[in-house]
Amino acid sequence: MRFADTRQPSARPVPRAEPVIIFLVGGETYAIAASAVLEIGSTDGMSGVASPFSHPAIPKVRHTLQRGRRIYYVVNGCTYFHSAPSRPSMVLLLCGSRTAVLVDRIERMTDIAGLWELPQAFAGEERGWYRGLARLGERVIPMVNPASFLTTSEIAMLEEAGGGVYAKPSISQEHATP
Amino acid sequence: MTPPAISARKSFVLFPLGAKRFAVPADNVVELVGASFLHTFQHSDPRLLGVLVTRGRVVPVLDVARMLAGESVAELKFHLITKQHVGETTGWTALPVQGECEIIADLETFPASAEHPPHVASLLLLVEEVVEVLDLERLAASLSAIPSDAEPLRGVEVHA
Repeated sequence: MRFADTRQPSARPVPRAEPVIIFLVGGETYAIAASAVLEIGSTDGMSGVASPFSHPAIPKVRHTLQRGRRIYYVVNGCTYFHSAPSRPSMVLLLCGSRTAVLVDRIERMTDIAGLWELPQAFAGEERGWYRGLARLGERVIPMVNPASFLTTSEIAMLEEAGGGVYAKPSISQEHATP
Repeated sequence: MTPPAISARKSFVLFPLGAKRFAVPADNVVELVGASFLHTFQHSDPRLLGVLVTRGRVVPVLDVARMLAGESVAELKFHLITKQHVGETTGWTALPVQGECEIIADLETFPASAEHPPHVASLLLLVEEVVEVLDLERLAASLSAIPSDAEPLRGVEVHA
């Protein structure tokens, strides 16, 4: 942690409006760019198309999900953010990737007027998790970096482990995360 | 016999944290904001409490209570926003404060002893009180030396 890192980057928000989806994971609020989300579904609606799947090196993925001919790796949001366990009720399918994310619920869609860079004092995993911080009324919430839920190398590892094999139980049957 | 080195006289902001008061040079203080302005969110570094947004900047808040007061403090009243000059730029960082701050002008400082931790730049000798003047950069460096493998912090939105 260095003071030198806390200087100019966070001085001004990037001046652009952006539609975002506000969602909750483990009781915490996050934003994701609406353009990064292909589809939002209920975990109940995923019955029959989700299959348990695990990889010892990537514990945040515990299911795969088939939508059409595409297979998605489902990232448990609580495991990913090290949040308190919760019961996910929604799944976000991300655009242009094989990634889906389990979230507690969707709060709403809205526009944000700008995005601040995360101060450099935050030097841990959050630097990968977030694109920056968004002001939403009186609140400041992190804007997630969709590419970080599963990296290209993680997806390659999952595919190598045979992520396309399906079984029965649905995502909705999994409630609390470890 | 050489008298102890005495620095130039300066103004200081004194703030309470735990059972003691600490000081930072008034030149380094930007403003004092209410604790309710703190925004927290999920992150992995327990040495940071969250951020403040003020004057168009996002200011990280350092959790210095455990280091300075020896324990986490439950009730914070303010955050003291400080600035540090690094090269040609200025960085802002906030420290938690438990009560009213006091500005004392025209004070001279005395050197800290070798027994003081590195983040104590000097001492103010007041009536019945010796106040440690903090070197903010060294304080941050000391915080960095604390392992960050504690439980990640859970964010709680606090509205202004």
